[in-house]
Amino acid sequence: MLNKKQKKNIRMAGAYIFTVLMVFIAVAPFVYVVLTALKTQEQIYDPKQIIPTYVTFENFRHVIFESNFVRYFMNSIFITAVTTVICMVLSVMAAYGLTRYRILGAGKIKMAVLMTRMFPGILLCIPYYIIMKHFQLIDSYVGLILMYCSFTLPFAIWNTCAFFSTIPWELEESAMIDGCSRLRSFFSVIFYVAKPGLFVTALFCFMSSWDEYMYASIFINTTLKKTIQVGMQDFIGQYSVDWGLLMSAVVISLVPILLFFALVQKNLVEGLSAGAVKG
Amino acid sequence: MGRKQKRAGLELKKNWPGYLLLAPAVAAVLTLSIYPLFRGIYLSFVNYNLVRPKDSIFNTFAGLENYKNIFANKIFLQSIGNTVKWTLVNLVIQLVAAMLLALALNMKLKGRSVYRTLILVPWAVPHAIAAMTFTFLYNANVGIINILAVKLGAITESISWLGNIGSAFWCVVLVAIWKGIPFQMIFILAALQGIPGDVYESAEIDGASRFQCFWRITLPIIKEPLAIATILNLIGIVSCFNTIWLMTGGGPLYSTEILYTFAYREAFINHNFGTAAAASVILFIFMAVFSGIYLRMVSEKE
Amino acid sequence: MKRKKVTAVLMAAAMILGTTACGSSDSGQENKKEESTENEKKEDSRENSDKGDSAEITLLMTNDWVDESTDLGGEFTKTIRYYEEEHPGTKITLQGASQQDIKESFQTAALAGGGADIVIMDNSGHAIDLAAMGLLYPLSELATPEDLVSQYQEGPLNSGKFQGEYYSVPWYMDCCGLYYNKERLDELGLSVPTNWEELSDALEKVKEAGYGGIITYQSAYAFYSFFYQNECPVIDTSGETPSVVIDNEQGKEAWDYICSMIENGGLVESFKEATTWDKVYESFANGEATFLLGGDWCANGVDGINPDLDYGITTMVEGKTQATVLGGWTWNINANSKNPELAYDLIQYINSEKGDPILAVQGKISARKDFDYAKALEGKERLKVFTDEFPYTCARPAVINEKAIDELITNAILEVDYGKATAEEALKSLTQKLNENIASNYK
Repeated sequence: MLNKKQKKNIRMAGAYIFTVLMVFIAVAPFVYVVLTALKTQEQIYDPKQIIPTYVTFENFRHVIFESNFVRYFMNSIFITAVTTVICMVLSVMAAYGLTRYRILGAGKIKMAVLMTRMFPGILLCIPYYIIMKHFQLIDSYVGLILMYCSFTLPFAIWNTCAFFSTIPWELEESAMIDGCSRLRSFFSVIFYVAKPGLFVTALFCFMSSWDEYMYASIFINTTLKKTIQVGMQDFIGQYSVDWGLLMSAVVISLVPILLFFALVQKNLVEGLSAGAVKG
Repeated sequence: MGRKQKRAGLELKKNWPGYLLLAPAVAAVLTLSIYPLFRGIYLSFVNYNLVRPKDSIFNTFAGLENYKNIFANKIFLQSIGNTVKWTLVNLVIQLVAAMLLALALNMKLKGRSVYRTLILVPWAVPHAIAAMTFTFLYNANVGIINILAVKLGAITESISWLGNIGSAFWCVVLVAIWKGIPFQMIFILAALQGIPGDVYESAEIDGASRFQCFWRITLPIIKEPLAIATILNLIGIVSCFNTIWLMTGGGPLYSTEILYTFAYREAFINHNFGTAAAASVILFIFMAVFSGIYLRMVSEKE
Repeated sequence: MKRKKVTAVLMAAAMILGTTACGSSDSGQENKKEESTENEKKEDSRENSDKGDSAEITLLMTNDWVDESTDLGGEFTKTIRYYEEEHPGTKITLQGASQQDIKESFQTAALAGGGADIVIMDNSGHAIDLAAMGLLYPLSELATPEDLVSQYQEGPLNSGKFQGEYYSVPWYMDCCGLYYNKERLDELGLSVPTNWEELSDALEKVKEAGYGGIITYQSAYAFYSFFYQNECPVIDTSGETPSVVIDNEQGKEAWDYICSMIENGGLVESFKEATTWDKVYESFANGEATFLLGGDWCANGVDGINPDLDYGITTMVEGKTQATVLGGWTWNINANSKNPELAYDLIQYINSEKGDPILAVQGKISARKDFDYAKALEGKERLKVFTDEFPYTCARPAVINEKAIDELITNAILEVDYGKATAEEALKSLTQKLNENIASNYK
């Protein structure tokens, strides 16, 4: 019979092995992508060169300076940033209203809003096409941003509400007794306390609009207006795919997100736990 | 009755700034989600084939014609089966793997924060990019998977993973799982970290095994966030359009066609909005039923 | 208490004003104004500066033509710039789409009332779909049919003919040839196959030696050739409505030949994922496949991957008769275009001798009747075989929804390849589906 400590050691070892394995699976494809991005065309097709014997930065140079890639990147940043800001402002307002005032059927409203997240994108996409055509918003960022809001807003509202409701009303009250105005007490108390949660909510909005492909591919026609996900397909040519270029574009597009992630990683779990657990 | 109305009126008066703050968000949700939803459902009962705009029946009421059409389509029936398979496989594997991973990461491992960051990499990778990356890895001629498998002697000749009916589905599932685990995991982990440690201590004194602890204490506590996370994940899985579309386009021979890709094909390749809307309504019903069943299962355990 | 309320209202108001919330479509349009002011300013200034003959044309091309860093794209954009210089005040914008998406992408935009002025399209009958939907500008407004017939080759021109009206201007054309791995044929002591029997024999020998057989693009493209070689047009478009003849005696023979090749393992594994041409070259260049069925562009692709490969190109094998399938691209003008005359002028310019350097980059053949083959293929001896084939090249059936028909044929071939159906079953269900498709499109 194993004693308690041995049991614990085995469990720890199992946890380590499992975690390391999962980390490997998570990261390995990306590592291979980086390796490919550093290869020349011949090296990519050479099975002996899985790990390249020499590296080239030509692919990166080409992607940055000789393609529309940077433009697509900036387009995506713009669309994503605007979507995130709109969503955050709307959901902070809504969450403040829902949690700090007595609203009839507040719980139902929250749930109903979250449920709209369940509408399949394609079911909305078809009427959107007709609506956007009517308002001449096809091939425009406004149309795209509006559509992006449709799937980022529900979660943003729901998560922000969950956060605000964890903040005790007394905190604000005491701030107001100290002579703060309601607006000031909002910024100094709620905003401050809920910061990690708002951060994470913003990250979710950012991620899901950055990730979006279908709407962008249907509704944006002009080359220079393309988003990065759609623009990436440029490297898949009519008669050939330049894997080196494609993979270096992938690498460049991921660097900022990964950096951002590493920065907020700590907030991520903290930011979700309040919302998810007590939601 | 009268008194009640009066009270509601009073409350409304007192809380009107709250309603005002709520209004823009509600208006946005109404115009951006609710209205298109009903418009979409309406379209499914209308003849709306954009390829034939000059037909006299264009934009007229079609009754159940669109539904009859899609249910007569073998590809559609096949895609329903694929959707069920796709959803179950993805959901179960992701849930189990994410749960294990979250439990492991909740232990006091050395370098935990490094693991945690690295585990999130697949989530940060956009779907379209993941699809392109894995297409490259699966490639029969230059893909590393074939190169390694041949080198290790697992297979004698390169296999076209995404080109064969048997393997394509599982290869795409693998990508969806790879991409989906972190999302689910981070929610579970967040919930786990909200559990105070002393809950376990008393249980351990009672002599409960680790498994019993998990089943009796951990699971009930994290049940609600877990349900929300799973539903969100389910939505992601069912609408996992990018991965499938960019990797196989629903092929080979529609073996990876799910309802979502079918509806997309009808709408934006064949340009028949009527049947496409009908297919998406079926997809919506599927999602609602699936989450309904799931929610019931969760609440029954109580 | 009162102050509390007032601030809350102010807060709400400030937030609403600050964001011009995305609540309704009206405010959405306000947003648009803000965001696109930059663009509008540019457009305004342009409109102001060159009033009168100012004009803008957008071209939707496949990605290769738009990428200036490649030889092909570089030469193409150069020609476009020359045109702009010769026609001051004209601004030409290039847009790119992938080969697979270009038709749908244009269609989606044009159905919404927009889209590029000019779009290039595979000459397999895609233009006919768009013409049937009323998305293309009829050429009769710009040129007489006699003009077009005297200028361009019949095959490519007819690929854009719908209800007696021409809709597309041919650009370049190509046809399918047989690429073979020379080293391997020498090694096995095989001669280059010239007819059906020789090809089957060669495939058998290659297979016995442990090599792969044929690779081609996963579409009906190359397979049409076998039907044409057996004098079956697959779909007969001579009558009032097209009729499916794939299951007539000649068609059956051709189908059985294709299926016997497949059943004997004549298609390589990579065929199953060859949904883009690059996979086709990879397979041939890496030595998986011994034969490749494809047009002139494959030479570039193969050379790019394995410059040392010793290979040759010959005409397609001969059946009852010599035949191969026509490929190539055409220019099409959007029905929504505000400036169809200018668009046509630009097309004429690119199609004239001034545009020949573009085609010369990869030895492509213009669909112009007065085009000088010999000059175009100078230094590209290998590609001359394609000009030998031109006299007996047949276009794919010009019917509505050719893409769906192509997909049906491809799927039938795949069903046989995966062993899901026998040749007979596959042909039977294919014929039925083709008939249904034609019937639904020609009600």
